[in-house]
Amino acid sequence: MGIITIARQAESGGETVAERVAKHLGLALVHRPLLECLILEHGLSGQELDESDEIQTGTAVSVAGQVHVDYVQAVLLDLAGKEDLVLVGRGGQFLFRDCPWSLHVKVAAGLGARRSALQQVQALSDADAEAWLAEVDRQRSDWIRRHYGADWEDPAHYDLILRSDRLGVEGAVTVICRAAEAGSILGHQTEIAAWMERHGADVSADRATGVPGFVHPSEAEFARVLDFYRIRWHYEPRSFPLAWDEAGHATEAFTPDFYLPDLDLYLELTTLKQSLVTDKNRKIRKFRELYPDIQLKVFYGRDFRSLVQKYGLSSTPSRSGAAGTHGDERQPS
Amino acid sequence: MSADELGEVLFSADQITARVRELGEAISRDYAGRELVLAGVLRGAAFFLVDLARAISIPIAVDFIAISSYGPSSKASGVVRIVKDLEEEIAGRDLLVVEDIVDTGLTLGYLLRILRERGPASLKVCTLLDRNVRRIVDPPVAYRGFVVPDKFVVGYGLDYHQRYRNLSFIAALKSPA
Repeated sequence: MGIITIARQAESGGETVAERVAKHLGLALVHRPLLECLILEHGLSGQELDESDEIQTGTAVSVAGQVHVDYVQAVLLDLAGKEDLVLVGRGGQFLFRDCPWSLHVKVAAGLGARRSALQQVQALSDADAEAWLAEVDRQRSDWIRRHYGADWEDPAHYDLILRSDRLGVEGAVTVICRAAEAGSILGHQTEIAAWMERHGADVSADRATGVPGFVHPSEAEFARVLDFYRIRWHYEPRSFPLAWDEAGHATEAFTPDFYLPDLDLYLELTTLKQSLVTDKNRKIRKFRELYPDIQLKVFYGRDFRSLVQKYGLSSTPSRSGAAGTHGDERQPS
Repeated sequence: MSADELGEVLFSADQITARVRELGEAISRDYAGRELVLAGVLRGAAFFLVDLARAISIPIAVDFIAISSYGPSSKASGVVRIVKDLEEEIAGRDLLVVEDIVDTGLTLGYLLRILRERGPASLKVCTLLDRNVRRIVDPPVAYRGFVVPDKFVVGYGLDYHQRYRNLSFIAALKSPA
């Protein structure tokens, strides 16, 4: 996998450049129609795609907007794990900023060229056209700042910044393709799979597809329940030392299964029989003594089994709903 | 309807009526002089909301909301979403979400996040039943009818495969064989 991200000033021709680069290199172009298809498969709608869009009014990050941004990111990451991509906008340069097999490009153009390009499709005065261009770029900049806390204008975020009005579209395409080839960013499926796994705790794509490494299959399925309810989670992100030797090295630790950052809550799920939980109980007691300010919720045997059954997570489910699938989490009708 | 599936009656019709009346009185006191919207979460809360509304003595508006469920079809992909939205404008008004039961709190947590963004003057929850042994998300429940143990309960809006909603009482369902 390799990723070419293309940020663009309004009316700089960035979309056209992206399209040509994708065609020239034989990569998938991620544009709105493709995203609409993908997120429909994930249960979102075009309207919700709008809420994740770069052109958004207001300065606050709405919960719905952030959730949708998270989800579109998940879809993009999922896609990136399967094939080489050209991604236009949507903060791709930040989403894949640490990915070694990525090339981050910004397409720019002089104000006059961009104004003329806009005036070819909209009958605007020079002043109105320039105001429109400034507004679009401002919204994109605000969107990046809100969702990634970064300055869109900072050249340090890009490997290449190209002026399409000076190089021309074909010139820009040639430079980008040569940079991709020189950097050998394409065709690294194996390496990128490892990268995705290492970065899994920070992004949500792997949640939908199943992160390898869950100790118990029910944990993976429980993660899907959290995804369904749009609750962000990290799997075993932190170990808490419980005992130390004389040199100060930890000799015993407790690693809760999940951390839910929005709730600042750790969850421990156990499928152990009650007779086998003595040691775990001891650890949890010690954890609560040593870390009284850390919120931890423990689901023991019966609680966890009913939770597993509640959501139909068991591989051999008992009678549907036997543990209670109505109420605030309703049965499918 | 198979009576064989029904176990212990947890709350009789009389107990429910009395408790709903108490909740209605408390809500009438707390929201006196304010503009209250009751939002029932479909389908389970419909029965409770109707009785609760009639036990409230102050002017209110009534509305309903429905959300998608997690189930086998959701396992491969999908996220919870509102499938029937409120029709009332709630910005600046007091909103009381009416639930039949709060369990893990996952759905209600999502619902409250979405509703909070619409700028209600206040946002609280009234639930008929509160089953907290599996609670993950702790929504702010201001009014609760009864606390229930970890049993599958049916009746008074609560169903098992769409059955038993129309019981006037709440009973546990017998454990599966």
